[in-house]
Amino acid sequence: MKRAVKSAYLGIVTLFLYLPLAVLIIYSFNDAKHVVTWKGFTTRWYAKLAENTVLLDAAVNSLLLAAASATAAAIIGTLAAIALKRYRFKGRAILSASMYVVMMSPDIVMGISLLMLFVLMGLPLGFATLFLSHVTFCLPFVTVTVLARLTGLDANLVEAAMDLGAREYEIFSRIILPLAMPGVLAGWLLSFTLSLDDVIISFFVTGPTFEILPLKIYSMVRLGVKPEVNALCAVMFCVTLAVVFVTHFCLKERK
Amino acid sequence: MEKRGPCIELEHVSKCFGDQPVLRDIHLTINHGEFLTFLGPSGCGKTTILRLLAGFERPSSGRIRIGGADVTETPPHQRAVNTVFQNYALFPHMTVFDNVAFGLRMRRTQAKVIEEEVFSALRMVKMEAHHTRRPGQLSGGQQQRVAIARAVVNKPLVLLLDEPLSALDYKLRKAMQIELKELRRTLGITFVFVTHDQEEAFSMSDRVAVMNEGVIEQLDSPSAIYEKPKNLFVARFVGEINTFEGRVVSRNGSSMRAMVEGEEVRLSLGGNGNGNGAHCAPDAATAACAAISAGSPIKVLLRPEDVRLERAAPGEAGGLTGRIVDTVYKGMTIDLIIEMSGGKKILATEFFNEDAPEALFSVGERVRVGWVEDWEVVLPDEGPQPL
Amino acid sequence: MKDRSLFKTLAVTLTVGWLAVFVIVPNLLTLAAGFLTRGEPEFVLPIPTLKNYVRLLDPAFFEIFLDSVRLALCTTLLCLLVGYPFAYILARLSPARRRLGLLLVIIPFWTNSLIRTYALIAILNVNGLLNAALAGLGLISEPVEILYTNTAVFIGFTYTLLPFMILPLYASIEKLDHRLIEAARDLGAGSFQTFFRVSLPLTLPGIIAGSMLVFLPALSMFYVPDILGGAKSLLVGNFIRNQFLVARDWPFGAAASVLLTVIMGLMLYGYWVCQKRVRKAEPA
Repeated sequence: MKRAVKSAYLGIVTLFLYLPLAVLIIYSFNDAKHVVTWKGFTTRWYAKLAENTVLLDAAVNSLLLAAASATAAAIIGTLAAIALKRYRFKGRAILSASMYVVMMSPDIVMGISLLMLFVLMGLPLGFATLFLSHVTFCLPFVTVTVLARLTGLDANLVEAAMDLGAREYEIFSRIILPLAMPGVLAGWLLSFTLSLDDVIISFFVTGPTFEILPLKIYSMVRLGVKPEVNALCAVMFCVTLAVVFVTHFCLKERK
Repeated sequence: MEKRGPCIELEHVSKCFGDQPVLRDIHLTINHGEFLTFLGPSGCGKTTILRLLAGFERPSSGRIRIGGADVTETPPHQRAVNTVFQNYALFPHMTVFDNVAFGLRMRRTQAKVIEEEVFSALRMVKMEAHHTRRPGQLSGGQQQRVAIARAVVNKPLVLLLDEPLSALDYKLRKAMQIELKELRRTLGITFVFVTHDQEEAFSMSDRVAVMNEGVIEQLDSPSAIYEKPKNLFVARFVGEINTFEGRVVSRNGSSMRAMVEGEEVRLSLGGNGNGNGAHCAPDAATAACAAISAGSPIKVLLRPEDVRLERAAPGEAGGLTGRIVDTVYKGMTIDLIIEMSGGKKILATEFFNEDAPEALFSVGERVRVGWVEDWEVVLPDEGPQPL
Repeated sequence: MKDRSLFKTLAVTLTVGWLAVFVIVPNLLTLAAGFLTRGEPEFVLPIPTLKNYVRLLDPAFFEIFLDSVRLALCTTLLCLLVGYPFAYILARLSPARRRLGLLLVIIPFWTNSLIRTYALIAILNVNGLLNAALAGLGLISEPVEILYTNTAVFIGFTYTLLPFMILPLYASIEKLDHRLIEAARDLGAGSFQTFFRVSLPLTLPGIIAGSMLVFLPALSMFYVPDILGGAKSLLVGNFIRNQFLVARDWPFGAAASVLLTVIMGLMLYGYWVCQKRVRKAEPA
């Protein structure tokens, strides 16, 4: 009896979490412009989406930005993890604290503070500022993921490498990196998703020269429901789904 | 390669972790081609010495010289030393070949040379057939051999081995000990070995350093350590030993009479010219030995196999007597546990002689305990000793 | 070892440098800006003043702040009430089911919050799913206006932020040593008591972490009230955004941001204290 209640509870909450999304996806196939009632199955909104060059451009931009940010964040984040794990240096506390600050800060605080920085630096708002901001907020997540992986590594392996004549860079490239790779990849995927999802920070640091998808959708949805937006959201959700699955298997395999 | 002079010199090396002293004033020399083992209980500091030699730790004070050069400040990747780790530490993502080739690749050796050397090393440890396997696919013994090959292929001046056989089962361990001795003959390099297994240490080493709480208690050949232990710790740590308390009655040069277990016995002290004579450790404890005089408390040590038993007829007095309370058949030998008249229990080991069953002692028999003259060891009583 | 490694130097410099420039400096700028004066067209003039912080106490802002806090607190509470049992049950499932369950929670967690907020429109609309369901159940006779009210914003926040509460809660509950619960039972405590005296205090770090991840965004996620609340809703997040992009009063906006940061700092401190207490209870 108790089991059934528990399962029911889990089921209801899960339903609550997924229902709106399911509705969204279903409506993206609804052959009706504004009405919420079902008028028949169609894929014309997807077709319309495929023709909407503005949206497609924004989508491509977002993907490029996400890929670039994820890559840079993966590199810097991995180096940070290794520095934290292996080296003793003067800025250690700063590094650790900053990571924490970024992870915990509300997006809006990060957004405005970065905006002020860029204005102070005289940097025009656009791809560059978006890139720098995205890398910054993705960094800690990579570091945490890679650190977790590094902690599981046999400490003797690094000593064995040293014993056999390897210098720091060789230890990194031949021993640590290959063994930490699943963590690095997971970190990359995490960053990719975070970058695609970001709305608030991008809102403050974006410029007219580089349109990204979430902000485009934002300006569209303020005007209410639109069928193409349904289709677009459905597609984006599927992308997230794919990324989560890949990350899941990535981290699972090399256990 | 400069082979003159000592291979390794530890000059007054001490090591503290925080304010916890781990090594105190270690001062010794190891010669080229020697097999030296650091033997002692866990926590005695033997692994720390190895790590200092490898370069993973720096001494808190003192200098370390390898091959004549001062390496105290040299990082591990620049020392002519290679380590075989206790848990092998093979790189799991590389094949056996790549593992063994690692050190050579770090030195930018040519590919052709690497191939030759790696296969030669693998042949030496009989693992050449498995060169494409990964460590995860190998058994413990096989991993051990690859770890050895990975170290020796670099032709180091010194090979450090940190309890490499402790994870193997008995038979495999025995087999590996033989292989290691063979390897040492072939390579001729210096071996520094760490273990807590006394038998292992004795069977392979030229010299053994018995350690306790950061100090080297005795550095000697295995036979010297076994037969002439410098102090109670060494005597007790290495093999079984019987300890008698006694008090000196009179002393005349190197021989003395003392009261042991209520009986007056004759004991020998100091070298008497015939090699295996009982003696009191010649160097540091000599002063203490010299101080032994009438009235001094002493400890008399006797190895079980050095005990000589005679049947004592009931009522017959004289000499140290006791009663056999237990016998333990060990295959090749028999252990006899004898309770002395004072209540003390001692252990005697005799060879089991199938042809003379009447020589067998049985439980309950009264026996007289004696020993071959000079085979006993006399030490000044240092007061209460931790067990 | 005096080991000068180029790699090591590069790694350290790059990472510390990046974070110093893009995290430390901006936050310091925000802090500083709160104490300076607004200007045209420079945004900020280097004239120190406490005016901005004083203005925070002004009813014009303070009411908004209180409204936001109230809404955020309600959201956090609801998420906690719904999320805790969920995480608890999830943590007690078999490993295979647990993984599945986690995956089901992680997917909305990683889905763009904007999309999820947008998806609610179709549900909360006058002719949306919720009204249809309520009418179908006979609970209402004519459609209720939910969209473009504060209620919609409340639902929006709860919906979007629930996974953010569940995951830290789950992490904390999973670490709970079941033997402690057994020990409590063994000593005579009933289910209720065991929960309130053992489970709850020990999972407090998770509760605080989850609350942080819900409360702070609920104050600052301005697109939720924008999309679901219409023009009537003005929360702290919207307010700060307006200061920066509409009213151009950066120092004031910065001061409000600092306020948010202070709240975050207090919550982090609470978390840290709780975490230490829980760790002290665990055997070394």
